[in-house]
Amino acid sequence: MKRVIALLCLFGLVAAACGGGDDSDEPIKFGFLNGQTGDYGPWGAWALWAAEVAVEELNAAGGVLGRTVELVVEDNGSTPEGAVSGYAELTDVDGIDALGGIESDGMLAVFDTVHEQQLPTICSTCGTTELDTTGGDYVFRIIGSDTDNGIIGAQVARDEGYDNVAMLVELSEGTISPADVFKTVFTEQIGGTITEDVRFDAGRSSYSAEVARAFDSGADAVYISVGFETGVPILNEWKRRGYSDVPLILTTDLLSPDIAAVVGEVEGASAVVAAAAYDTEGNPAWDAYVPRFEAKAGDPPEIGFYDAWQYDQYIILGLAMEKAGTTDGAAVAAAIPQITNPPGVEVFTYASGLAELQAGNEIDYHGTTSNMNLNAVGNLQSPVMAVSAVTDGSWQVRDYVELDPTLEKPSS
Amino acid sequence: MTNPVFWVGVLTLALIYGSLAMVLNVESGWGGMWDLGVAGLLASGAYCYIILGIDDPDLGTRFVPGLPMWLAWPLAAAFTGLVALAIALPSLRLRREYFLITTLAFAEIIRQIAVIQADLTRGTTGFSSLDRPFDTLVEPRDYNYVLLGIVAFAALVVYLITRRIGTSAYGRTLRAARDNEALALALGKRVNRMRIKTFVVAGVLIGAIAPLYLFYIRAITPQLFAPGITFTIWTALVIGGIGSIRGGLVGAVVLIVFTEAVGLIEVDPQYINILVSIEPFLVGLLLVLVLRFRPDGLISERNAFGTRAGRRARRVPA
Amino acid sequence: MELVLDGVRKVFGGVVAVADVSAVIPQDQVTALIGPNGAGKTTLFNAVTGFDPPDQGTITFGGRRINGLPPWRVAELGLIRTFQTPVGFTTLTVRESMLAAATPWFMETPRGAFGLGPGFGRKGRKLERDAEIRTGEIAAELGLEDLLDVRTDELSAGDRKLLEFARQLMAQPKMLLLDEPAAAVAPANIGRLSQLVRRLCDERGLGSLIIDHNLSFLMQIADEVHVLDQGVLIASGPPEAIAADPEVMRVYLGEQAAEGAGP
Repeated sequence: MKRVIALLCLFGLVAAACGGGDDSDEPIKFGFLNGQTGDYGPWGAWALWAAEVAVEELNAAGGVLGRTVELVVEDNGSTPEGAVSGYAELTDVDGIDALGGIESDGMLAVFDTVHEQQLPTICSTCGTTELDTTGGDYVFRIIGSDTDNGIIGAQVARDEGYDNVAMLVELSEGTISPADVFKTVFTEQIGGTITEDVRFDAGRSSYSAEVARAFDSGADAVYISVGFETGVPILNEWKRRGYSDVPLILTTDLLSPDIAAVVGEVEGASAVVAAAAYDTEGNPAWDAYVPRFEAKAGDPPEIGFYDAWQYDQYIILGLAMEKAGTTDGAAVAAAIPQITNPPGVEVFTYASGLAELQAGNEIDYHGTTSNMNLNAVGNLQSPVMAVSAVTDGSWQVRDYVELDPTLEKPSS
Repeated sequence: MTNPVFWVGVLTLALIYGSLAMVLNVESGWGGMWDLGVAGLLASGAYCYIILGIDDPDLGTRFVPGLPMWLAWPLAAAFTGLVALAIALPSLRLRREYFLITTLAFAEIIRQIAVIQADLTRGTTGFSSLDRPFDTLVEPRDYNYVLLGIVAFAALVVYLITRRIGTSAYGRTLRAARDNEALALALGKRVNRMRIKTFVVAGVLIGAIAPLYLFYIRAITPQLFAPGITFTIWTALVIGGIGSIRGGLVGAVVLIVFTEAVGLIEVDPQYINILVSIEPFLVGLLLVLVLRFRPDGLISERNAFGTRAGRRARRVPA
Repeated sequence: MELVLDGVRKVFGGVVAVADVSAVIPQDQVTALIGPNGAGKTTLFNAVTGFDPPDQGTITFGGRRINGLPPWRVAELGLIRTFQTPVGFTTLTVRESMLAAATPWFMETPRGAFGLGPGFGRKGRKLERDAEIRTGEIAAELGLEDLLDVRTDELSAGDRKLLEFARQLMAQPKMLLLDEPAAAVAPANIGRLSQLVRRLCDERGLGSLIIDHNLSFLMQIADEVHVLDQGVLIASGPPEAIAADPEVMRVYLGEQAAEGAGP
């Protein structure tokens, strides 16, 4: 027992040595709490690269409030428990001034604590429908909700003229909620028919029975909402069985090069993804971001990896803090909608926003992924949505679409 | 220490894991039932507690029982005991390694039910903004200390209960049947019935601990009950010493504090990828070192039950 | 009181291991069951003790039918068996092993651990105290008193054998079923073992049914001997009569000759 106590004391000393104090000469700390390992691990590196590009941009423009910005990275292991302990470390040990990078389930776990501690938090990649009606005080979301993803899927099915659609849905976080919204909107508001709704858990050796049930149901198209790792075996099965004449409507997680490669190998196949998209056309923010991300990552931004949202959030936090003139959480959080929404001079980079703010002007920041206009509950007013299709074995944006305002969000 | 609040949180989590590991020790260490389904029992207790307490019809669930915390909590423990009984009745006919796989499968089934039965559990969205005991009495910033107090009290109670079981005739016979089931039967021990009861007791205790875990996490989704949590509890128990009385508690504190301390190592962001991959390795290294130098864990069953006289007599040539 | 086998039959995948064995085994004498390897002795033991119930026939003990009962129930009725290899409760000390054998079932429940249920209060404490006193007495009788706090897996093979007896006695049996008690016991100690079995029978009226290969050991202590060959009971009677039976000698000694010197 004595040895155990000694061990604990040792840990205490290590902790004491590592922990920092609280001094205004010190850098401003932006927390980055993200799944660098675990289920979200494959996205982790891209998210971090984008965040680093943003913080480098802040510092290159002279920092925030004249102080350097430090990105404090904490891995949450892609679990809610990891998010809680990682959050505690960021706030209690590192003393961060704002938070970004976190995913849906982690966000919900720290949601109350964020409010109690008044920590300005941007959830850059949260799809959860829980945030559809909460948030706006300290938590802001700069990406479309799973609800939007479900509606846009139904809208595309309507516009393509599909009356009968089969569904393949993986039972997991993030795949069920858009599928449920899709189903409700497609059947109740558009008047379509679901020929078969096949739901299954991931990690099987074969999905042949599920694929057969969906594709043999006489549907005009098949809507597939599955995780990235399940998508590849399912599409291989689809390819093997020669269902290439049935068009596919896929969800965001499948917007990856691997999936495009599989679809591209099949003669006459048609697959579209209707989802949140990067705002690329004639957007100076995007044009400025791409080369710098590529220099860091060695690859261009990839929509399937959600990198650009991670970038936008730290530019917003930097501008909001500058606008507030303080690191005080309540003031910074209140400033966030002020710098993202009109009225104001439209700005696309931190440096230009900083210059306008210092000149005493209101600003309206436009990021790489949308115009960033937020509604009263801290959600995007109009996320950029695009329909992408496979051309020559890779995903290409076919056209940008707006959510049809006549299609309503189903009440949960 | 410069950051007491942080360590308060770490210790809270460690004591929750410690309580669970002490319960796991009763069924697995003494009872010989290698249970890989702790996450499933934890999920049963947590969801039962949450669902019984739903008081907001806007959440869109089928039931809005709105039971107060003090009623939902024991009911959740009792319900988890029933779930444990339902798992034990078919599974305990199986031999050890099959029991292991079956319990793991049951835990996954329970998690999938939580995903699918969205009209009860709100599916993958789950519940957040949970009420916590005494949360109206203190400032939110100070609540961590209150929670640590509650969890420490619970760990003490679990320790006293499991110690009582371990030192009683009941615990002795559990260990005897674990060592040699045929011999126990031949001496008239009702081995199967005793194990079923033990599994149910473990279920009740896990169900009673489950709300504490929710108070720490402050949200509930099926993701919370992935098999990883079972493996963490097992790791804590192995480090502390399977079969000892307080090994689970000591092991959990060492494991969780070590894991969090490793997480405090700070490097330049460009090396963060290396660091996050090294962190699990360091935790694995801790386990390997413990097993290398203390194969029975920091506190072994021998130390917990063997007496001084026994250890002396060991050196006397037979 | 007696153990009665009536037409007991056990078949394993078409092979008849025990064929319609009928016998009456009085509870207050030492009975030996002998036969060559594979004769069905252990199968019969397992059938009696509920570990492997017979396919046909009935087994009664004290007039009560016991075939079909689970092993723990047979043991509760007073038939306590041993196993060929005396592994014991490996991690329990001698004291713990003995106490465990003596504990009534109602103390071995979660409720019992907290002193609730039938073992409540003074009654439970008295039961525990009595068991501790008997542990001391029996350990002294068997010469285990210095080893009470030694773990079973640290005992010598001979001490483990003694612990086997000690546990059985703690369980307050009505009859002992001993599966090869003399196996792996040093020849010098076999005499001590014989005395013990005999003494239990003569002084306490606690009889035994013994399976063993060691013919001379059995002939010394048995009141009656049954001979099993290929599942069939071929002879029964007092040791002298069995020893003189040419059929038994052919079966048994032929087997022993084939085996070499025997165990």
